Amino acid sequence: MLKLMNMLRYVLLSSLATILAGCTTIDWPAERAQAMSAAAAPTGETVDIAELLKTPLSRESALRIALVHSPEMRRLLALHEGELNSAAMTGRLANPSFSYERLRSAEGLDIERWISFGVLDVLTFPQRRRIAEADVEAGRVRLAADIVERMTAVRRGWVEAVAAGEKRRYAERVLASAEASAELALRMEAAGNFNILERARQQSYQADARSRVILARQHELAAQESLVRLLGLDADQARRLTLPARLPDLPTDPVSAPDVSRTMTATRLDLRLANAKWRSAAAASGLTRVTSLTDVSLSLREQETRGFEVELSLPVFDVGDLQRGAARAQLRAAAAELEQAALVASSDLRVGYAAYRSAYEDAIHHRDVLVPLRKAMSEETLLRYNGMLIGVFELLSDAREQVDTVIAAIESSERFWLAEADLQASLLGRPGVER
Amino acid sequence: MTSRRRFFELASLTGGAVAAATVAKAALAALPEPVIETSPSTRPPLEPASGRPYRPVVTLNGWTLPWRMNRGVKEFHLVAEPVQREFAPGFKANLWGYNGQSPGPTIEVVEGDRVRIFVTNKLPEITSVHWHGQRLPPGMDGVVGLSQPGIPPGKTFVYEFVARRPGTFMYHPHADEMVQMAMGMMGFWVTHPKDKHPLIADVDRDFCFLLNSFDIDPGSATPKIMTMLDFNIWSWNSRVFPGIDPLIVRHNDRVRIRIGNLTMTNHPIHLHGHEFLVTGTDGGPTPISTRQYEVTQDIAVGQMRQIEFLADEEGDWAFHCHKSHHTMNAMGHDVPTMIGVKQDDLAAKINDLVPGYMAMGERGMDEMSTMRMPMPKNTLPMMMGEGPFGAVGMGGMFSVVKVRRGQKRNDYTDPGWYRHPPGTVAYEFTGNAPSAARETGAGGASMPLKQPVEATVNVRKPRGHSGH
Ligand SMILES: [Cu+2]
Repeated sequence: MLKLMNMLRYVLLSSLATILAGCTTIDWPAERAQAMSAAAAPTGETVDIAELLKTPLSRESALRIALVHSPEMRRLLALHEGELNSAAMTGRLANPSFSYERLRSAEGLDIERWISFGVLDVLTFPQRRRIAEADVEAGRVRLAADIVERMTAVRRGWVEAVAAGEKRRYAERVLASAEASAELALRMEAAGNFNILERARQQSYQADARSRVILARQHELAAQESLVRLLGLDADQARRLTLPARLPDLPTDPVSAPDVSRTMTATRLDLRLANAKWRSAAAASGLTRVTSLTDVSLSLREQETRGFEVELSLPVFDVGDLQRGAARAQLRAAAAELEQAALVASSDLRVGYAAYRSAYEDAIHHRDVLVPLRKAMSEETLLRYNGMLIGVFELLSDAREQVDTVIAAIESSERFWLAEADLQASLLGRPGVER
Repeated sequence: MTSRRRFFELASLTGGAVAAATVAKAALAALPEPVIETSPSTRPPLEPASGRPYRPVVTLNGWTLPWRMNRGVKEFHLVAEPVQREFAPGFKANLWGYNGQSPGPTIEVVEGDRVRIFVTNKLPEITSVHWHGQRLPPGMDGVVGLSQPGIPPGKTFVYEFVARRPGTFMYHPHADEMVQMAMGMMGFWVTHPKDKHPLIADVDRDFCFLLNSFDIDPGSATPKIMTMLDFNIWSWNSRVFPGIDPLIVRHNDRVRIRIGNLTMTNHPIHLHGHEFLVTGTDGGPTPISTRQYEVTQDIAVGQMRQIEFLADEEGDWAFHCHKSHHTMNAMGHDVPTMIGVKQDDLAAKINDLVPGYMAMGERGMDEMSTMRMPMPKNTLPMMMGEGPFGAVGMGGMFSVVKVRRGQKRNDYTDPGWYRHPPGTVAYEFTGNAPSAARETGAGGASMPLKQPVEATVNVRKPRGHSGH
């Protein structure tokens, strides 16, 4: 009896020592900070919304409001906090149960005290701890990925709302020009200088322009409300929200292929997640030696004919000699998933980076070629008007066409900033939310 | 400015020695050295240095080509080449012409002269010269394919014939004719009578010029060669007002003006202050019995007219084509009439969209002749010219005949603006103007309308030029 007690005490004590030494615990503030950092989110725990709403809201401020203030974000964080704790739980021993028994027998009072715990729990503890660690890591990555996704949505929402405002204003300029034409045409008809056909033609431009303004206003409102939801603003805050008049200038130095290569490390969220799953599966299968993903290497280079090429080299997973069994199958699945994740990552980068570069080149082309060309045409048109070579209606019609070119340029700039938001997500390993 | 090679002038001024030396050199090549003139101003008449004497013409904003006598033959050298021509200060065009200019130099000969013309082609395509109106062997008529092969680029052809009848002629290519004439290739030819001619009077001043037209898009410099009718530059000798020199005349001079039309439409040429007689046409001098006094003579496409008058009214007299859009420089053919349409209050709105916009045309277009606004480069305002009483507001085929008592014989220098005797200039009435009684009824009609006409019809200019 005593021998047994001694043995149990030994097991208990050694287990406790192990548990205390390597127990998986969750330090939530630290986890949150780490995830924010992994998502390249702006730092700061608080945000003065009233202050930020006093001036047109920048993209950075929009991100900060969304990350700190929005209920959706808070919901997300709370969910993840719970998930991380659950994951960590797997790596702990179940609480020992304590029982107390008092038996009154003929021999007298017999009191028994038991501390009981699962022996298997204790015996498998190191393995389960490894699984838990991997699961916690997976949870961390999911958290960071969700933050990136949120940020991408906010960036896109902000770009769309700003562009919608810009386009609405230019649509209104077209309308103003068309209104001037229509008003002049009416006066021309009244003076007997225009017939009904010519007057009606000028008025139809105005009617078309008005229809475009109605659509543009609706589009702007919808885009703004979409942003309001992303930021989590209440009705009062939404009323006070103003946005910059224009999208930011195009960057002089767009992200280059070497820049992209530098970010393509195993710290990408998608690769980290697949790695964590693989480690979890490996731990579950009893495999102790897990190949590290730091062996994965990616590089992106610009190709003259085929755009951008991402190269990928993976470590060879030797899972063939593993014993059969469910755990082994899961391990093979996780290995395949990891391989697939790496393939998808490289393909996604190729697409994302090419989309980013072509959007950049197109936006630059609009800014540096199309808009200046149209401007030169308009300048010449005014000179021709001055020389009585054309009339005021042609001049106004040209003004409308010029605005069309400007709106096309705004749209090209919008496409660029959307691609830029997607690329940022893509570089972190969380591909574009809605490409 | 002038890159004229002075050989012929030198020859005529300094006499035999210099001339002989130079001719000897030129004779080695058997080709007269070409004379090039690039100044667009009117050159003084070229008195004949050799051959039969005659009273030379004055080519408006042009010149007469010198010649050399070669064993009794008058030899000229025309060089067909790309040129740059100033139509008026501020507007130059890339044309094709002869010897440095469009139009080419005037060729003056005397009835009965044997004439040899060397034509060197410096154009990028074949050319030829048709001697419009001349009696000559068919092989000298210059129609490519019909009377001769084309003169290839870089080659020189020789035309030779006797100037059989006196009169007014032209020359122009008959190879890729539409293009080459649209580019400005043409010239004047005058054959003076060798003796006293009963139908050809002696005159004190003998002017000549060609009517030509171009389509040069405002802001550009080269004519659009495929334009059929819708020309925007209406010129005399490839000059437009105010670039056309005035015709300077001494009081009581007998004046002859020879005009050839190489445009694609007719031009009613109108002289103020005098009546003239049409003394010659394409076919030569007109019989006396057909002559009647006119103040306007229509000149059809491809025609020539010579008019004569006694300049017995002193003053500065307008002389122009009577198609009013031909006395304008480049203008829009589809500009709406803005008369009576208030624009000022919309100007701010329009200016917001089109910075620099100014409302125009509400009270007519005369303001165009005084407003100076930035225009396409190398483009003249539609209405120009500063006279002694302000803006003239003209362009194109417009000039002034200046008749002066003090002018010396053969003096072509501009005497300045006419000084009107006191009380001979229209003046402002400063009294009270009584309002006139006006008829308000619609007037009688043989077949009255059943439905009344609702609005008055306002007069407006026809659109486009396609109805000439
Ligand atoms: Cu005319």
